[in-house]
Amino acid sequence: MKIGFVVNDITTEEPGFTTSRLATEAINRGHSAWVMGVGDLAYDPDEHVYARATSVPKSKYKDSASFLQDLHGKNAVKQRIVVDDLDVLMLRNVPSDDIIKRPWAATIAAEFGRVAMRHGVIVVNDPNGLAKAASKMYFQLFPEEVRPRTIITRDNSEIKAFAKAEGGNIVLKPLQGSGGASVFLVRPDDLPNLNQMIDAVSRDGYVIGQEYLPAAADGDMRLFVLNGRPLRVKGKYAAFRRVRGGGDMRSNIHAGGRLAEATVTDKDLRIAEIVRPKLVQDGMFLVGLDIVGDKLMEINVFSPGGLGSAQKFTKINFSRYVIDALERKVDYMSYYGRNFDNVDMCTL
Amino acid sequence: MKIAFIVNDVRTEQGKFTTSRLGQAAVNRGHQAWVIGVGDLAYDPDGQIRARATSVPRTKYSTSESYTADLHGKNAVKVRINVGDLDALMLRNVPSDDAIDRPWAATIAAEFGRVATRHGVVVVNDPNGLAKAASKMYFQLFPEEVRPRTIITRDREEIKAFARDEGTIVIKPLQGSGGASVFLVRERDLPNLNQMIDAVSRDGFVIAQEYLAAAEQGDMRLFVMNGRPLRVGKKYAAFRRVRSGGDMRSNVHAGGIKAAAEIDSTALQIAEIVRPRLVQDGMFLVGLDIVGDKLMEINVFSPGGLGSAQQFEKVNFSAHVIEAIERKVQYMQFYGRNFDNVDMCTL
Repeated sequence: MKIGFVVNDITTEEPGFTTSRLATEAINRGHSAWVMGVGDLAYDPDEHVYARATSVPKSKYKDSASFLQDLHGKNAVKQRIVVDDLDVLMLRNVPSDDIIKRPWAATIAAEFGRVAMRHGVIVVNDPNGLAKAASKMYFQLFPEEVRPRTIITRDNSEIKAFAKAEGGNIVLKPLQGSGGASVFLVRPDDLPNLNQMIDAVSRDGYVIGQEYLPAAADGDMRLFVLNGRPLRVKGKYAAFRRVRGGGDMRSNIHAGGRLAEATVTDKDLRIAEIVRPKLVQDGMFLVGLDIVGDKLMEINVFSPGGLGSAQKFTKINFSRYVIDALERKVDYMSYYGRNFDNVDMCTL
Repeated sequence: MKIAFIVNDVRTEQGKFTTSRLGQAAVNRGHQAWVIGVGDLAYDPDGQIRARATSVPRTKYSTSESYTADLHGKNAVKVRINVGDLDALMLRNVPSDDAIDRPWAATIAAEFGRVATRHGVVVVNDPNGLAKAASKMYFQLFPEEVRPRTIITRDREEIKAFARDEGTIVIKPLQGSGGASVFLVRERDLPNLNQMIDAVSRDGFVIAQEYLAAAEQGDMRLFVMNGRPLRVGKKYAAFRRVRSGGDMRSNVHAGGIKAAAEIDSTALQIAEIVRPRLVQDGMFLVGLDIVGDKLMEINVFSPGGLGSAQQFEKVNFSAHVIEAIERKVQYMQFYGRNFDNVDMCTL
């Protein structure tokens, strides 16, 4: 098959990235795999979407590091390709990484993806689903049962009342944007500073205040969900734990913390089961669930990362199974003459 | 019925805005009508959407100016309302007006609106439809026949090649709007093309379009409601914007005068061609900007100018828009406030 990966910027891709692993796997399975930055796309007067795309010269790579070295190297294959001729376009850029310097880049992959799918390209995750998930408000569309209690407002006094009702323990973050910036843990003795914390967050728009889950003190678990089901191979789940490091309340890896093996329990599977209908409805092919205790902290639908970490602890090359799932979609699409609803195809 | 209008900011609403006319029409028809700024919304811990909303003290207003004066006045009614209890929510904020100072505000009405649809509120235009229309790329999803030739890229060379092929082109930013950074590029402007492209591409992707010679005369705005041209008796909700001076932008705030429009079979054919997609995306009220036999733009976010259409056609179109929403609210009652919002938007 011919597959394209849309990333923020080719030059900043790293071997540890899940996208690099997926592309390496695609090449090793004999596919033609292209990588393109969000700024490399174009809509031409002939009504087709094109891209200045990059591929690699060899057909086998022993790891994603050597793949990426070739992708960045002088033997890289650079070509202006017709995106509409691809079988699959995988949107793997992280919008929040572009939010400050290139705000226009945040939504553009979905915009081009929406045009490409008219021509029978399978676009994952579904562009219209991604458009619905542009902010953390998306999370509120999932059943209450799996979410922490939440308030979203720009009114300081409403947040203060919420903090009091929660016993002084809440988490504050911006509704739009992400990546761990401006995330505050508010404890009872922080109440005198609450105004300043709210102001810091509300500079960027609406503030989301959430009940603090005591279980978060131990970190969280990332569980990958593929085609609406937990990604499981040979009895092992694509999952890992992020253990809090030091005093920083953000378990995101770039905010400090270490990774560990995860034990996926019935409680986790139940959460995945509860979110399944909505994920299927929105055409979410590959997502990352961040689980704390019996609640979800976040559903990452834009370029969820960490497949390599899951592989490290389980010794399963999950990337292969993700590509395998895409191959099946391409087969389906060929049976149906490249004419099948993209949302449905995303989780078939 | 209980209806609310979401605007950029209650304080900056003006009497002549289409939203003010709609608010006045709703009040005059005996409805409870609230106005809410994009920053006045909240999602509460009980899962409900609430808003600091403003309404007017009286039940009849002779003009939208007197209505707006009361909305801004000291007798205005200010209440924190439950948005989920409304019958209809009309998203009427203009995202591009907030693009610079409050970028977060551009998409927020649709975000809250999407949650409100869960509670059986009729939200127009459909929030998911609006999310698809976040940039001018949306336009490319309509049939080629009604669009000017177009290229969208960040590559200068591709735009230059396009300019050479077309002779005269218009370049503008793909995202954002309102007439800022819109350039007309003629053959004699080619030496400045690099600078023009740079000015536009600062904000992201550049959209370049074939220049339509008919645009010299300006364009026509035609309102489409429920997927059909808005027509009362034999009068269409439409008007013409005539170019003034040398400015190629026919947007009224870039200069230009308005005139009565004549709706011909070409304009109706264009409306017919765009209809399926507008219905599919739940676009209740949109403005088509027509030049010759092409569309220049489809305005799905808070299209304005109903007052201008009224001025030339002597029809109070605003009342007919409110009436169409009343019908939706009735449908919703028959169906126990449980009906797909996309479909309801154009019923």
